[in-house]
Amino acid sequence: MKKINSDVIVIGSGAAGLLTSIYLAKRGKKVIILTKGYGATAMSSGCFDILGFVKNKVLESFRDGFNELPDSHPYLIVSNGDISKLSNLMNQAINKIDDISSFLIGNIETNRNVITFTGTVKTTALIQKCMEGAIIEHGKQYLLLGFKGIYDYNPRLQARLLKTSAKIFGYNDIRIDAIRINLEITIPSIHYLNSILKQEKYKRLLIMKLEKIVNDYSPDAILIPAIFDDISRIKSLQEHAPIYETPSPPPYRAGIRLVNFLWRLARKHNVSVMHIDDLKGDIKGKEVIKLVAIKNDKEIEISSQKYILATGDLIGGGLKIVLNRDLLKKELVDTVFNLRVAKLDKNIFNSDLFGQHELNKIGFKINELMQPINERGAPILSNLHVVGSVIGGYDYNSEKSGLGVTLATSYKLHEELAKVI
Amino acid sequence: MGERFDVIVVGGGITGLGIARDLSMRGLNLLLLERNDVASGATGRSHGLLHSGARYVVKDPESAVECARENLILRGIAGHVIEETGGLFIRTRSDPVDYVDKFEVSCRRTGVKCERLTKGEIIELEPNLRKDNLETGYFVNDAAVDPFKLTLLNMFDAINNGASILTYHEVVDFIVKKNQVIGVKVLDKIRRASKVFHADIIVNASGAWSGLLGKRLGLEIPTKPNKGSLIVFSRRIFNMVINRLRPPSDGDIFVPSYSTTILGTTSIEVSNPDDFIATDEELLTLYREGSELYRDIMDTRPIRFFAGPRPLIGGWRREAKRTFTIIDHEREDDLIGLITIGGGKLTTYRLMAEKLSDIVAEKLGVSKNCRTHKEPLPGYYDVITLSKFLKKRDVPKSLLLRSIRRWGDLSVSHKLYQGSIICFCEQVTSEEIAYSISKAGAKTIGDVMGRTRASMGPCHGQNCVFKIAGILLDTYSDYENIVEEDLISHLRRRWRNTVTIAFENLAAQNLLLVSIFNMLGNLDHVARFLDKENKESTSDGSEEN
Repeated sequence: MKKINSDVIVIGSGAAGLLTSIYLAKRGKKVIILTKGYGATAMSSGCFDILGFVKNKVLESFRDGFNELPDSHPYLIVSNGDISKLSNLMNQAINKIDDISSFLIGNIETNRNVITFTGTVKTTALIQKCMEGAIIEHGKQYLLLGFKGIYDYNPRLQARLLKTSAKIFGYNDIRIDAIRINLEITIPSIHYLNSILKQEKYKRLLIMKLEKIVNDYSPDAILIPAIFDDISRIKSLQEHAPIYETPSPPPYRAGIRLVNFLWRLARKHNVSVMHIDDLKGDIKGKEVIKLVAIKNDKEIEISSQKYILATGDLIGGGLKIVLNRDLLKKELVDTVFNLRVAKLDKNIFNSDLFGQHELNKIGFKINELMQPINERGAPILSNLHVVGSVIGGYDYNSEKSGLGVTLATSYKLHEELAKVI
Repeated sequence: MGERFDVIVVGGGITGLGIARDLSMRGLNLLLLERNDVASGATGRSHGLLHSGARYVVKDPESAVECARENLILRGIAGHVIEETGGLFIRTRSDPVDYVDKFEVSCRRTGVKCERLTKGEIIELEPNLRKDNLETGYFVNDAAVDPFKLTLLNMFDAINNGASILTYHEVVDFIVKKNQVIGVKVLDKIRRASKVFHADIIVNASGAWSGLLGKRLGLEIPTKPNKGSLIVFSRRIFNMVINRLRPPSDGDIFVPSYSTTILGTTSIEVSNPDDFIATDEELLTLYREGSELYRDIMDTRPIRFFAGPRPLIGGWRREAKRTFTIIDHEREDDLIGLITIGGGKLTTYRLMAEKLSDIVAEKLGVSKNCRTHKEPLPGYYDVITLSKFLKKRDVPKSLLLRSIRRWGDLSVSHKLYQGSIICFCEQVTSEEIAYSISKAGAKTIGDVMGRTRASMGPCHGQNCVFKIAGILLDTYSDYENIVEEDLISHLRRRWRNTVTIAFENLAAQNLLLVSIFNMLGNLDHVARFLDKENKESTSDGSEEN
């Protein structure tokens, strides 16, 4: 059997796994990432939400809601309840990402309300550079741009929802126009525009139409969904018109762009990556002995000083629900070590889609070293650490704090590990 | 003074539309009123089984004979929305031995065809059946029918024959003169307007809701609202209808339906037909019974779990006869101009409509006979013409075949296979969605879903509801009034069907759905905002459904 050894093994290649690896690699540690493919970050909006809401109250900064967070919240654990510590931690975490300013704008201290592709308004902190014009501001004029014959995205529907959202967020004075342009092409989906617009002919046609729009409407921002594979593509259009992308869910490309950006950094800092088909943890007593990966039907033994679980929650595949014989008794376990994370009560989901869902909050309980702990507060395994959304104790959906917690826990963990490895 | 008709039918289920088709074919000027969409009550929530009759041979031979006859007629007029799966009756080790003989004798007596199969033959037909639990089995003429499409095709034909069909029109009161019902007061729920219609005869075809409607006139209609719950699995487990060979009871049938398989049903009495929530206990029952036939049931991904009402009249749970009842209120209650029809089932809808229409025709002095069993429904095709077309055209065959499966020949004549794909799970194109709105009367996302299956797949509309709402906004002008409410309430309704079964893969899918709509879109804030607005507006008396 093939055997591999490293300083640190990171399991998972979403934002949590990539960020932790990058931070550690920058400190000269030998890191291997084990991954089965894209993580759930690729399905995100690609923006860094820090803390948007507490008890459905919209926040101007995470500072305004910090005191109302529950004790179990990872933000309190990483900072020991000290707000300036948390602020320092997250600022450093952002600053240690090389070239971040080429990709993201904003800072962790100030929340921004951004128009999304559905016309709702999203509260977040750092957004991708090409989304700057989608920030909602008083008195501004937004033009929502659609394309004839493409049904994925309807600017009239977006305008309708934007009007309501503007009311909710107190921006009654914005102006909204919705138009469709004809690119004289038949494509099955808006995502084809990414490649179509690489052709000079169509790019020129689009620019011509954009210039006419600027002439006719003089909008502050022309908004389209996140369709381009690289933000430089939209930059080149901005020479002709104030066109911006909006945060958009998959299959739009904002989340994938963020992941690709982090992948490039990881490669730059010599993080090794191993694509595997399956992975099982081997535990003896209170310690992880090794991991056994399966690749092309062959087993590979992987061992290291420290193991980091950055596998995400149910969406990323780090956690799963297993059923007992009696269907109503469910358990949440992690997919690598089969550790029991929680017993699940019947109502893991609210019967109202738009209510708060118990399952959002469930994940590993942790201590200040990011070790998963049991009910008595003792580490479950001495050499296992967790980062990102595999951690519980916070509700990223209603708080809008997903990537913020990932950022904070990843940076905190790398600081702790750098001391001991 | 409102508009006048010969007949007003209240209720847009399969029964109501069957009547609308029958009477309009006999030349009567007819209006049908439905408070939601067509087939949104019991019809659309049924498992879509076209009974061979075998299920009722022992207990209710009268129903069995009706089913067997109608089964053949429907294959003749609506073959394009029927999948001829065939059916099996399987005796497992836990089923009573003495039922086997009773079954065979009763089949012979009622003329319902059945054929005994060996264990080997059964396994060859359905390899997913549990071999260890299998004792004996019979082949019968069961089939799968799309209940929604069957209703819709009756609607198309009724409209072709001059009938008016109004959906989202709720009857709020009757107009009575002396001892005669002469009209109805109606609320247009989309435009929020009141209307009045008059007619010589009003037919109460509101099924499980008949009793509630009767109460408005002080009538006691003996409905017994009864709910049945169903689980839909994301793939074809069996290709045939699989029944348990025992007296009808909970969890004893698998029905294949398009790319899914439906496991049903339970039977529980409820006080209000609108109050049907599928419970955890029912889920357990269905899984327990289902696992007697299919071992891997726990590893098969469910898509939704929901309950629908049975329109039983005068009976009690499964002891109720599944034949139908017609109440002429002139004879029973000395109230002229009102007839109630109830009971029965999907398979016998046409016969029910025929019998009722005969009574109406006689009362109105119309001598024309029923023709609904002779003339095929719109979209009917013969296989030879269709296969020629399939060879000729250069179109993506998967899209074409799926849309033919959904619409029959209408797919070819209206080119429903063209356009871009809106729903990836069910492969529904923009043309098909536009058609369902502009020609087939869809007014909400849910209506489009019923007509096309868009957003019915494993992703629960995550990718397509916004696209569908966008097409509605562009195609149907009144949608402007309801767009946000519709989006929010559609997503909520679909969600509710998944909460109980959210384990393993579906739990992850659900969490993704929550994340996308709540976290990414802040749609939760829009929902709360609308809830607040609605509360304020409903406090002045308008009705909320």
